[in-house]
Amino acid sequence: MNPFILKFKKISLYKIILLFIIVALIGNLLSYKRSYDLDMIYASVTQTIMILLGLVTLVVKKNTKPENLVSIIVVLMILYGGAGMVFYGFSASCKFLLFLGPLFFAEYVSFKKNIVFFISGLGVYILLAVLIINGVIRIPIDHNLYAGKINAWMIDGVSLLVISYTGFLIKISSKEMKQTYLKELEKSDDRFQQIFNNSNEAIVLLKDFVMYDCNKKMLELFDCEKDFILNKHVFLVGSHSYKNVLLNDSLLEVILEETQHERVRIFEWEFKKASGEKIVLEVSLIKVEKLDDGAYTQAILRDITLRKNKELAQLRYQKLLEEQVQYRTEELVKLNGVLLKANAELENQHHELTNTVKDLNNAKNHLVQSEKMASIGVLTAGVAHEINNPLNFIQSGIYSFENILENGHLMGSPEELRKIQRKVLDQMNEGVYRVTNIVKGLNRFSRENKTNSERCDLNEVIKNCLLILNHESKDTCKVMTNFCKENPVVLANEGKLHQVFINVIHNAIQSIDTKGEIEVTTKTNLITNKIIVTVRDNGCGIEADNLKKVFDPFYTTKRAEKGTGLGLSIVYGIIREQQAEVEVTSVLGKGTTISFIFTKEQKLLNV
Amino acid sequence: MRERIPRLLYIDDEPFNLELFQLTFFGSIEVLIASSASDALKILEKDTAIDLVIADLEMPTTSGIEFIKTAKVLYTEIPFYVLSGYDYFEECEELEVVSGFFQKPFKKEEILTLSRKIIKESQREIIR
Repeated sequence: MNPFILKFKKISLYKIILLFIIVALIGNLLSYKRSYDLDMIYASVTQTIMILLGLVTLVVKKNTKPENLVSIIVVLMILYGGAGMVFYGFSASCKFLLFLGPLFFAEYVSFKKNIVFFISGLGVYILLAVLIINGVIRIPIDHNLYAGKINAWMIDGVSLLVISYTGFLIKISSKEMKQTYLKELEKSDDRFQQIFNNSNEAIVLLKDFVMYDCNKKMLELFDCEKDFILNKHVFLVGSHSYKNVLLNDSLLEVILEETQHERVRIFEWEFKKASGEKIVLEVSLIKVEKLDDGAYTQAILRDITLRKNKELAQLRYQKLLEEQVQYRTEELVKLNGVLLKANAELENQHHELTNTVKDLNNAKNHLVQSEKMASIGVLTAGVAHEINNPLNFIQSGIYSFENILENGHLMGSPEELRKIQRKVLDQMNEGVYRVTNIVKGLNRFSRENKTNSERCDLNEVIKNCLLILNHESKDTCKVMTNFCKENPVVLANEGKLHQVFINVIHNAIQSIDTKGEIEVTTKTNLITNKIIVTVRDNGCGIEADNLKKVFDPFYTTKRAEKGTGLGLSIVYGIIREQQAEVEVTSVLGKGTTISFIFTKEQKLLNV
Repeated sequence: MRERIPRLLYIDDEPFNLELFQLTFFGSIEVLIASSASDALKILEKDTAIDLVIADLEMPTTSGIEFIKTAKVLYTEIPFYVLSGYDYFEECEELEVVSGFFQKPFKKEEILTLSRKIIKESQREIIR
């Protein structure tokens, strides 16, 4: 039941009974006025006192410890009731008993007994009334005026019944209320006990560091019986089971002391159970105020071993990670060192490669020169022959003149002899001329000249090349030239141009096995200012697959002694250098045509 | 006894060489000339008194070597010599058919000495 309702009912019932008592008092006081003799006044006083006693009883009941006072009042009432019955007749005493009896007995006897008492009291009252009215019993006070009247008895009886049983009911109900309240209290206490005991957290109440109370969880946590814990100093509880704790006694004491002032303290406590199991507790201390007497502290203990282990594991993991990171970092540093070393090596290699490329370039230049020399080498035999032949003219001319000096007279008439001498001189001149030409051609071919701006007449260059190559071609090739009439002059390096045409024409000669034709054509296009030189042969030709390789260095189909494989690659290099173009077309077995396209220099256009 | 004049056949495709050769040895060697191998073979066929043959190597239709190979089979007694502008006669050295070689420009004395030596040897054989 709601305590508020309980209180409300209590108050209203008291008000009602007070109202009745006040009404009774007023009625009593009024009865003094109508009292006509001393006896009547006594009776009224008796009634007033009884009412006041009832009032006192009610008031007294409100206090918590009324037992002694109520007993005194009851004794007083019985004494007074007995005196009343002796001196002033039964009626007032009966009324008194009927009036107060239920009020008091309600306190001490059960409801049923009270009813029995009430019925028997009522029976006595009715019996008295009947006996007194009928005059069987006579009372000393004015019998006729009051006691003999049935109405007076009825009015008195009803009012007394109403007053006393209102009080009785109040008693009963207040008792019931009290019981209900107690039940509620019990329930509430039970609830709190349930909450307390079934809490998932271990709860301990400490009184001056002594274990005052604890819940089940606490016992589970500490793995012990309640008797063991209660009334023990907090240090004693722990001392049997924890030794290597994080938190020692003095520290705990400090904390507990602090709690008295700071009210709340939360800390972690490593605790070793009797079983040896180590657990970590989170302890939350709070000062409990307004609880009986003394300094109470509530402690809530929570097993955070799992969490702590996780944390520890996490810490370990973190440490491991840090170690790994450290290790990896070191490894990386090492690796970086290795990389740096490798880089240095690479740089070194790069440097070496650069040097190698330089060397290769030098070697290439050397090779280009070598190729030129090789070409000359190939030609030398022929060239020697070409020189030796005209030298032979000169030498044998000299022999002839010697012979003429000696035996001229035998050779014919002076006229005839002069003709012979003239002829020999012409032949010697021819020899000198041929030798000169060859040597000039060789000079042009082999001369080291770096400039690219010599005026070169391509017709002259080609003629010269053909002269040098004459001995090579004369047995197998019919060489035809088809030169343009305008001078095809370009600005170039003459020696290099010789190299180009000697290479190309020599290739043409070599492509012809037994009998063939070589045609060299020069053409000038006055509109485009291009000079086109074509060397065509009807030799063996080049396979389509090999055609694109002909300008590759060291590519050759000739036997080793016949070529280096550098010829056309050098030709290509020179042609690109002279900003001309070269094209090759060939049909296997039918012959090859190689064309050069030169641009006539702008400043030479009017030449 | 007086030595007879050697009889020499010279083959060269260059006319100047032929004419000048004849003039050089006028009075000391009787020089017969041919401008090609075929001409030379014709002369050899008619004339049986030729002491030696000198041939140029480079000739348009038939080279000197080919000519000598052909001719030597027919005229085993006659020595065949080579006269060439080349300074090296690798091919000739290996051939037994070639008795020797001269380089252009030739030295008059070498050819004269050789011719006279051949004449002497032939006369000695005849005496024997």
